[in-house]
Amino acid sequence: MSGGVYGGDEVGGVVFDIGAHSVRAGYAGEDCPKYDVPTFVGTLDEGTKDEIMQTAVPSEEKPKLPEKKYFIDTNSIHLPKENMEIINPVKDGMIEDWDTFEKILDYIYAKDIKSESSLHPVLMSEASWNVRPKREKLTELMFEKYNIPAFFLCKNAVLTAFANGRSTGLVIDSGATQTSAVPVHDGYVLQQAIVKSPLAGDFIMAQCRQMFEEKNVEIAPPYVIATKEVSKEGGPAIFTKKNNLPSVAKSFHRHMVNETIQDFQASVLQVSDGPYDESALESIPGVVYEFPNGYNDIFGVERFKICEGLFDPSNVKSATVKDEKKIVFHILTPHLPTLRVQKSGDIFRSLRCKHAIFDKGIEGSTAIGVTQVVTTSVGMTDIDIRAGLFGSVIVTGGNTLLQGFIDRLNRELLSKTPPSMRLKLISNNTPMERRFNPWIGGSILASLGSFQQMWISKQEYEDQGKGSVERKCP
Amino acid sequence: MSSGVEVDQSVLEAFDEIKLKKRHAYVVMMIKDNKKIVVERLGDKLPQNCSQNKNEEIFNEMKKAFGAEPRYILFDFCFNRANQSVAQKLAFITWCCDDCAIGKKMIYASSKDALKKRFTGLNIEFQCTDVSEFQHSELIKDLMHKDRI
Repeated sequence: MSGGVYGGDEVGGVVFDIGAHSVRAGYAGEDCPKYDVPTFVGTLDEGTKDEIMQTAVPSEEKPKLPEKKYFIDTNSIHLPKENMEIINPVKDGMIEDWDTFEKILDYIYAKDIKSESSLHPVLMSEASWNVRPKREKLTELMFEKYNIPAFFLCKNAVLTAFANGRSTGLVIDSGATQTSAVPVHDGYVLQQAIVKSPLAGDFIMAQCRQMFEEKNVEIAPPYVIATKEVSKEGGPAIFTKKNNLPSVAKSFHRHMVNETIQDFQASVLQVSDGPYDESALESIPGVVYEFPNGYNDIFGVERFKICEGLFDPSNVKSATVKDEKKIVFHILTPHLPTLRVQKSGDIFRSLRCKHAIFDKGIEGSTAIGVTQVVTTSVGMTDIDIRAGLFGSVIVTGGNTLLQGFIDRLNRELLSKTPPSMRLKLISNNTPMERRFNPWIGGSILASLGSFQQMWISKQEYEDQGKGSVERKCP
Repeated sequence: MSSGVEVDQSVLEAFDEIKLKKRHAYVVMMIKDNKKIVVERLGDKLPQNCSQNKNEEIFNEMKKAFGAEPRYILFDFCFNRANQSVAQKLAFITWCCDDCAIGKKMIYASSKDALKKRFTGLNIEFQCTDVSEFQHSELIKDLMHKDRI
């Protein structure tokens, strides 16, 4: 085939945007990602299943490591299977479990891209705080295993800023696992001023879970429900469980429950306009929500109260007191380890200072409210660029789709902006754009003819090794 | 990080002319065929002792030519200092309207750094993303803020 037909500009790049919740992939030049695969993967230790062991060809040369079976993509992770664990290879926005991550890439190449990986350059997005060993390992993986002709790694905050027509701005990303503020100046991330907080989507989910526990409501995910009947408002659900279910792993059940709660979050929760004021908010009519098992109720002030923690951590709903001296504050997500706080009065203080118990290994991560994340980050940058950052605050991430989130952030930031500076909050209106912003940015960049000279080519990789990623992709 | 878009030689020449020789009131640059940053339009020489109002007229005249399309601009601002003297300052403006297509925003934002690096000795820069920001009066306000005498 002659390459001249399309001109030298046609590179046919593939763009990956890896998130904690899903991996977006597609060809460069398209205006939205074709594939959105959950980052959650089901795994099954084949060693535990005798039948499969028998069907496998016995070979003495093969090392007897327990082979794992992986289930990827929405359909297969939602089908209950015996002992299938749900895991997530991405932690803190960075790839942690490389084997599983490879499986996801394998799957995307085989099922979605449907082409040889050696034919397409790859542009990948990464968390702005990604570390050098991981970047190098990723480069190595892409060149050695997938044999790609060229590679580029781009910080997602930079892509988001560019996609909004800005080379300088503050990117606020409130996603599933964390809320972060990343200052971008002239297309470069100011690493030392990145601020992160674990108060994000999963935190809201933990709050919802706790509310239901207090209400004594058990959330039944759709996969256990056989039939349901109309139940009274606030009354117990009347439904029958499926009786032929395999015994599923705890992580699978938890994942399904989380998804059920996510729907509740998206349809019911709302961030109040100003600081939480119970008496004022009580007058706002409640929202009726029906769970898959038929349980339904009106949610009034709770729907504001749950979100309030995002902006005002002192309002974090205190955990149920089981023992006067020791309160256990569970955050039941695969990403955050259990947080234990000693005394009820100490909750707030401990949340703030002991970030290590929230998420081990993240430097500078503290449970601070969204507004404070923004102001702290700006405060750490050079005084000359602060005006530029306040003038371009770009909001992205799934958690920002909570009703009223943007309004509240805008209002709170206005009061914190110095009078000589102008505040401008930028957010895409459609949920799709807000979720896919970095991918779309990467897609345009990778499709530019002039961008070809920016790629790390296979030749360069072979000459200079994996270290070339630090030089070419700052 | 940048997109690899090249800066045309004509841009550098125009920069020298406006910065050192003050031959133009402004230089308007655009990205041609997603490949090269070229000079689109050169302004006439600023009149002798140009007043702030006259400067504003020139600015508005220049804006009309491209409207909402993104552009890079070098503009020689004249403004009245608090002590009544008239100051002249060259500034680099990136005009990229929020209503633009995402592809254009992307390429203009990602190529800016390559261009800015070629403008040695220019340290006043504006990023304008909506009509209200892209006003002579607003930019002058910022300039006066940055103007340290």
